[in-house]
Amino acid sequence: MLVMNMLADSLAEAPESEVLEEVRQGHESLLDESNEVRAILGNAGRDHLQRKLREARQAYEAARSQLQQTEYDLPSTTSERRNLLYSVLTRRPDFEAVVMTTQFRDFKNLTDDDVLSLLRQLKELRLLDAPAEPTSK
Amino acid sequence: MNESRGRRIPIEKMATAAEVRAAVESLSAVDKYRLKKFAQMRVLGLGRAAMRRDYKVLMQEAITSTWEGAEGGERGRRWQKDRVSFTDHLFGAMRSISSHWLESYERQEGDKERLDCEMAIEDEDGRISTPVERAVDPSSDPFRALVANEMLEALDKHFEGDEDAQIVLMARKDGLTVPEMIAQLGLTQERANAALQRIRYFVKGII
Repeated sequence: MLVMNMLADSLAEAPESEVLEEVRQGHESLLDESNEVRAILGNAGRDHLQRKLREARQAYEAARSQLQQTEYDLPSTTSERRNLLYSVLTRRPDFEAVVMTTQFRDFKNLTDDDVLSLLRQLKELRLLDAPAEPTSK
Repeated sequence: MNESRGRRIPIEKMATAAEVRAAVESLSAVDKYRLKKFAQMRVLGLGRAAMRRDYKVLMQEAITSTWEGAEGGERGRRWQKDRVSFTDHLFGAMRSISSHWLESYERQEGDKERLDCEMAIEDEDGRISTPVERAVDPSSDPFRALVANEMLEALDKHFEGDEDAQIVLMARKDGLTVPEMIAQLGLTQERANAALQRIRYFVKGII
């Protein structure tokens, strides 16, 4: 309705004194109106953030599931896998920062699952077969 | 809903999420009042096209699309903070969203009408009826349609003796903007503003 849109636009452009006069004439509470709008905007912001977190979580779960389900060509025994990881990290100590967080810095404390997970990550990143010397900086 | 790709504000000119947050927190009480009343009037003007959405939904969609735009991706509406104020940005978003609601509604109604005609049947007495005529539509909201028509009638009646308000209302129904009314109909800016204020005051008593 053109009339309503015109009135809406006129209010958007009206000087503050005019708006305050309308509030006064209408016996409205500026504080109540303001609090209501603050709640509406605040709730919308929270909903948006929660939606983003949900999407991020879903993407993470999907990636993790993908990583776990993908078949990797890795040694079949735990000792062979451990030896492989050790040799890779010895050959390329710069990879340590890529795949190993602070909690994993002590190689001896890595569990078999940790070793498998790290090898999968290296495989996914195509670093498992990287040459001994970095080819580019 | 997103801005058209052709006029997407470049990332370096758009507000960040932190700037949007600061702007929301800095809104004055008068700004918030304006935003609410603006949303109410836009929704009221939609009549049935609002499809049971109220001013809160319109405001929520406007701010949500602004948050999405601040992420720098393809979604949402970017606020060009150096060019428009935050409130003007939100007014623009609400105009755009409510216009989109109207377009969607009109498209939907057009499709329903076409489908309805295609499914018309003739009974043994030669009377033709359509699904709409035969069915009861649970989603119809006759009250909302009535409100829009009644609003226009109430405005005409209330401002019967108010020449400037009558000029503004009639001119607007004919599609003139306020600057055009001033240029073509002998109104001054002051008289037009005063008439608009009187009309707004009356409408807010009804909302």
